[in-house]
Amino acid sequence: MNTLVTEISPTYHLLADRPKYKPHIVPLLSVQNLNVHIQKKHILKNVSMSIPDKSITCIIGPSGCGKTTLLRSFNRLHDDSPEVKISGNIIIDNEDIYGKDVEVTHIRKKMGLLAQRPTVLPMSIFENVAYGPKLYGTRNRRKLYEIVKHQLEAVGLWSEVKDRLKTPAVRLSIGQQQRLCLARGLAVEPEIILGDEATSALDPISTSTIEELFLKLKREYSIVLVTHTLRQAKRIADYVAFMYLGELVEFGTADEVFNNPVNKLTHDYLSGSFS
Amino acid sequence: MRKFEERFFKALMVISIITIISVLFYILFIIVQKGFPSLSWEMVSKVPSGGYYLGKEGGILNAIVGSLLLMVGSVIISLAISLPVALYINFIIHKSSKLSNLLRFTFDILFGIPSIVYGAFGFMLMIYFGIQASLLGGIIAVSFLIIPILVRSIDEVAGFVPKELIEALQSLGATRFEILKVVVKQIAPGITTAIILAFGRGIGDASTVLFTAGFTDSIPTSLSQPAATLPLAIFFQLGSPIAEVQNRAYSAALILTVIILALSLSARFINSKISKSNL
Repeated sequence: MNTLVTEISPTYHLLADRPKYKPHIVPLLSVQNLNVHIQKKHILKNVSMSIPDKSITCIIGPSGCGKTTLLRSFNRLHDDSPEVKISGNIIIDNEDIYGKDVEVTHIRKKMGLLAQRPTVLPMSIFENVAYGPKLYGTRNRRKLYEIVKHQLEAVGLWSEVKDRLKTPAVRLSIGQQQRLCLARGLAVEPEIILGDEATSALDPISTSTIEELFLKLKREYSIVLVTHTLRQAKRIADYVAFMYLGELVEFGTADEVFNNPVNKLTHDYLSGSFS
Repeated sequence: MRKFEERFFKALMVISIITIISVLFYILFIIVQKGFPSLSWEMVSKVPSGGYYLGKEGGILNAIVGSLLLMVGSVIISLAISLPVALYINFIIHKSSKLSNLLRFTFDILFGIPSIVYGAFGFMLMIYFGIQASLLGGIIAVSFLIIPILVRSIDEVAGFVPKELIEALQSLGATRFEILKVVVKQIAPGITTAIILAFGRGIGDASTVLFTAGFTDSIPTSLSQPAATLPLAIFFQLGSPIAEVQNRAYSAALILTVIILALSLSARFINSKISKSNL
């Protein structure tokens, strides 16, 4: 365990199983020569990377480096913006996300998105989690209840809300709402959890709750987080991708990137020369 | 000096508020003062008898029922048109695209067209299709009148739906239609407000129904029969030289005001119910 870890709360023992060396990555999702243009601006330049399964990958980099654009192209959130032009391949389960015959809802089902601010649906706590399963045809009340209970337990919200499942979800605190959003995403059984600065609107306690959740969830899911806080990446990342001006500068295990960055830019960014 | 400025503008605002409120209350006062004495149970429960417009007995039940039927019909028709339009310009195409703004501009212009023009236009259509002055004709003309109001006010609330909500739904794998269902739920209070606004505008308008709905002393039993409306009942009675009949016009105005008031209050009630269960 490196020094960065020890300064954090003891619940982070899960970090012990962080990969020390670059393993034979079993890519769950791989990005090949991804180029994204927004109007005439070249936002992502020839990005290629493999997102490993069952681990946390943090994408770091200064503002405007294309982190969020990259994350959003994973579940085709650019589809409704005609000014965004995308070329290259993103492969998940041997299927190109941007392939011709691919149905977009089918791709999105594989990825749960956790936005910067929690966005609960205008319905009850129960209905929020049950929304996804209902979309995919689960109608049985008891089965839905089981799913809701299971997912709320998974995000540690069950004990807090089990007596008020019917109250509107907006009544929850922001931190609880974000966990509810996570549970809602998990309920459609995705393979990947995408987080776009998912904790930046939260207080420190909620943040650490979410971070602990990620550490727990990575046993079953692959998690990709865009984060603005280096400290967070240091706390929870297994792999780190450093991006700068639309290019992927460095990708490696957290240990490699944080302790022995290969690229000088990475080194400078990590040491705070620019941000 | 700056303190003076502050006080001056504050005073200006207060004066404006007082002016508008007092005008409003003066109108209400006149309506109540002149209308209340001739208001009776007979007025709201009976159709006019033969000599009603000469001061004989009867009531304006025909106009009350006619107006309500007319408005229910036009709200249903125009909502069925306006809601898809408002959703289209906000969620199907980009909400600040050229087409969206062009459509908004179009509805703004339609909003400003005098209602008598809609009445005349409706009348023209009726002649073309061979429909006589009837409840249906009135419903169509009033729909023309309130569609722009509905579109623009629903558009207004739809603009406030956060992009993140749409994206959250998208990433759950919801289709466009499924997304729109949640959106409608989210803006339901705004839609009710829009309906009330449109209802209030439509039920108080005389000139759209003048040629299209006609006027009759009986309650319409089918869409093809003419229907009396409150604004026209007021108009015809006010034109009478008999003081008693004139006062009845004020009673009719009072009834119209009470209907709109009751409607606004119930809409508020429904809204708070909706928001309690969702928001």
